Amino acid sequence: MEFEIKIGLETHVELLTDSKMFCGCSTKFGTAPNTQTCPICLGHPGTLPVINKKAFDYTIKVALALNCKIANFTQFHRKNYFYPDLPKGYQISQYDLPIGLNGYLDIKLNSKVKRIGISRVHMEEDTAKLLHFGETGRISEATGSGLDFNRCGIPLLEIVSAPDIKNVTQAKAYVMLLKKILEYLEVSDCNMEEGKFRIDANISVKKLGDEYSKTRTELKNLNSFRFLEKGLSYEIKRQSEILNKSEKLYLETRHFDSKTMTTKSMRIKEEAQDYRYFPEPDLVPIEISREWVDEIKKTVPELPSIRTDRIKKQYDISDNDVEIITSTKSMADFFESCAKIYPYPKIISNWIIRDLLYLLNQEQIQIENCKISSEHLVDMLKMIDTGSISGKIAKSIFKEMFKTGKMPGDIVQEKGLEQISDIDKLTDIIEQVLKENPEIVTQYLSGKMQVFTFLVGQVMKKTKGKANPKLVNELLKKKLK
Amino acid sequence: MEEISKKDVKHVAKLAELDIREDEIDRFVDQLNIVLKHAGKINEIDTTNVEPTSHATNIINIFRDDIVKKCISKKDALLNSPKTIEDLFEVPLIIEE
Repeated sequence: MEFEIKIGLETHVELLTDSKMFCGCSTKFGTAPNTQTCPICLGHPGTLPVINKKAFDYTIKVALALNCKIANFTQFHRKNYFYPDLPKGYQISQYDLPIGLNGYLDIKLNSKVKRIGISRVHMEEDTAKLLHFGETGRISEATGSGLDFNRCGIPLLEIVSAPDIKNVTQAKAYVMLLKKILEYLEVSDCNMEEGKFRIDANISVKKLGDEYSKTRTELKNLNSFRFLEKGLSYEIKRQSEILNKSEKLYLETRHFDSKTMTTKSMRIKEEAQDYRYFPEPDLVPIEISREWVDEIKKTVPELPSIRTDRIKKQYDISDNDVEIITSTKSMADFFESCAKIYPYPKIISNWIIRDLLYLLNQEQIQIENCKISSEHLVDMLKMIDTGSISGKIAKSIFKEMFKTGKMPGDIVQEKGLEQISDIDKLTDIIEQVLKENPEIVTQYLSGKMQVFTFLVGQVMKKTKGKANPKLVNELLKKKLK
Repeated sequence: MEEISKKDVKHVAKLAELDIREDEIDRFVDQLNIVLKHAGKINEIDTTNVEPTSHATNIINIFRDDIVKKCISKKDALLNSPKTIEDLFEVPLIIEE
């Protein structure tokens, strides 16, 4: 039997501000529990929230990048529900007047463009972190819960897609592009392991030809690309099997269990949730002027797909390499700042992809925190071009720069790594090598050409890799004639 | 004006996580209807030429700068928690299965 699938994704993103949404508490991650709180974010009676301007600006920025219409009048609402992670008994959120409405995101799959609608972009506050105690660590088997309010009140962006997503591949492409855009906008570090970029999904499956029923599943805890894929696939399979047996689907919330890679029902929603939204009386409304939006527009950088296309056109490097280089804004920035001062983009991208990325992965650090600047790399490349160091020595200099942040010229001087291009000196060494390997020379002279590289290797060994390889080749050939 | 029914009272009690007894419901229906009727007096005002609003002050766009202020101590933060566990506010397990 054939099925049709409809997926809508809800993404929650913690914004990269120093202080919380409505109070001055720090948003720093990973500090001791309950050390970043105050009466406002703890929800004490009589306290009053005040909106963080930067968080509001960031939300406009995201809404613009996602092609949304920006509201000219907006306000906050109270979303009332009881859950221990919400000390006030309500979350300050937005309801009928979100900051951004009706945008879209174009994802590319097999060079075809698929447009995914963005229903809304709104602001709210994050909740406290709920930790469950129990022997297995699984929510479903916990025996008690504890709360850390450090996260409570951190500015949170909610981005809701239209149910335009038809399969798991599209869902993954949408989330990856969305994350990339947010990183390019520098409004969130989107660290999924730290819960700063979280995904919930609404999934409906129906038989081909049938109408979609209202029994969609809300799937929670899809907090990595892998879990998103596994969770959606499992849920599509589960719902299809139920429909195959002509059984009934329920409107329910399900939790993805990363240990079993399955989904588990949290609660069947018998009735629509009733949050009793009403305008937040403690916050005045906001009018967003045209001038304000124009100011924010100026801060929106060249977005990933546009930048990727431009770099493909502007520089002579393979499409594949461009995709890697533009996968993060900081890497694309690094590449372009090198390309500004060095004329061979292909060589730059090779060093970034083969050497820099390898070391970054190995040391688990981000390019923006690494010690190699564009000046480091370009200085070194110029030294290779002028013949003062060999390509092989450059590899070790690169590692040294990565480790210490020293300039390549200094490393060469300190370690005596200049390339030997002195013909007399090289001729001496070559003669020595030939003398020490008479059999190899005989083999070569009798036509066994492949032993040539062995002789080159011996010269390199004697010079600790510093001999100019091109020159060694020439001189050796001359000597063996 | 619409009146509050028994069903409304049960629903609101459920939303507010209040356990109320069946025999209390009638009393709440009466009380809430009195409150509603009192608030309903507002309906007598002619608002034909008044713009709808949710705030009466005419103030807009109040913000603060993104500046970190000093937090209260962990000890003070936990002071109002009846029970704590490893510096966390302890709460009963709330997952519905």
